[in-house]
Amino acid sequence: MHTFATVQEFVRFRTVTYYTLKREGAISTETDDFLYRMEQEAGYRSQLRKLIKWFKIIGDDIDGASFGLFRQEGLCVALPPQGRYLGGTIDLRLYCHWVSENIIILYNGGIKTARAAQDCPNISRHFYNAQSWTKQLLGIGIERNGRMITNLEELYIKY
Amino acid sequence: MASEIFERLLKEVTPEESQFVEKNVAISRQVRHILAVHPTINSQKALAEALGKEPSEISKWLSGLHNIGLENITKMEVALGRDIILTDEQARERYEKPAAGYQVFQVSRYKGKVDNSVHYPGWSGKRNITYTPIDEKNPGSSH
Repeated sequence: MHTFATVQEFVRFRTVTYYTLKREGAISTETDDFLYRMEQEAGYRSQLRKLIKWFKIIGDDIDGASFGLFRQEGLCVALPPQGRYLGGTIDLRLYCHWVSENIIILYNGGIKTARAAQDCPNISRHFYNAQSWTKQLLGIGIERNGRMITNLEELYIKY
Repeated sequence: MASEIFERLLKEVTPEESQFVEKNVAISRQVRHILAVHPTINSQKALAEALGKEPSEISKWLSGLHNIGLENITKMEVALGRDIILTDEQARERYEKPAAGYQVFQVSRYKGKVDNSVHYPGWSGKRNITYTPIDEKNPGSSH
């Protein structure tokens, strides 16, 4: 049996609107859940605040959120962007779907503690959910570069 | 309506964290603009090759979230043949030069008064005056 999630606006800036998903019956959206959980991790609060500030600066930037700012993770993308981290540093991961420079759908994530996301107990669930949701969004017709978007908030995503 | 926790966390960003991200994004933007007009190094991939790095490393540098470090910034500057960052003083020296027909000159502020009757050779009649207090005891210096 499926539950459904809807797309809803998360925060809007001058150039970029960030959306997120909310499951039927859930108290908070997927991205709110990520923020509430990461806020409890004392060692990551500064990283989290920098990420928040980044969303605003990129959101107001005339160039918007270009695809190159994100790391490719299967069908979807994630933050922070790709790169080698010395000594396998533990890091935040927030999965997203890049629709265009002006529209980003934020999902959920956590602290990556294994080399591969699929093997990490903190984020594997979020990784697989992100793949499933992006696959559905692409199937509905929200192609990369924002073509064929009508009203995101009328969409239903199977959970 | 915007996410409440997002708005709250945004207000909690410290000045240092804000400055870090703003500077990083500004540097990233500057590099992208240079790549857009550079005659040979015109992509992140080309920049990575010029630096002997993986493209993913450059992508991380230019994300706005990574602590690039002065060493890596100067490596990019050398590879691109362009400055990415300038201090305020360097920018003034480079860009605040008077246009043709303008003359920049120092005016003595002896006893706190500016002598507007002073004329200098080459003065075109239009003023671009830099008032710099002159050390009367050491006129060759300026402060």
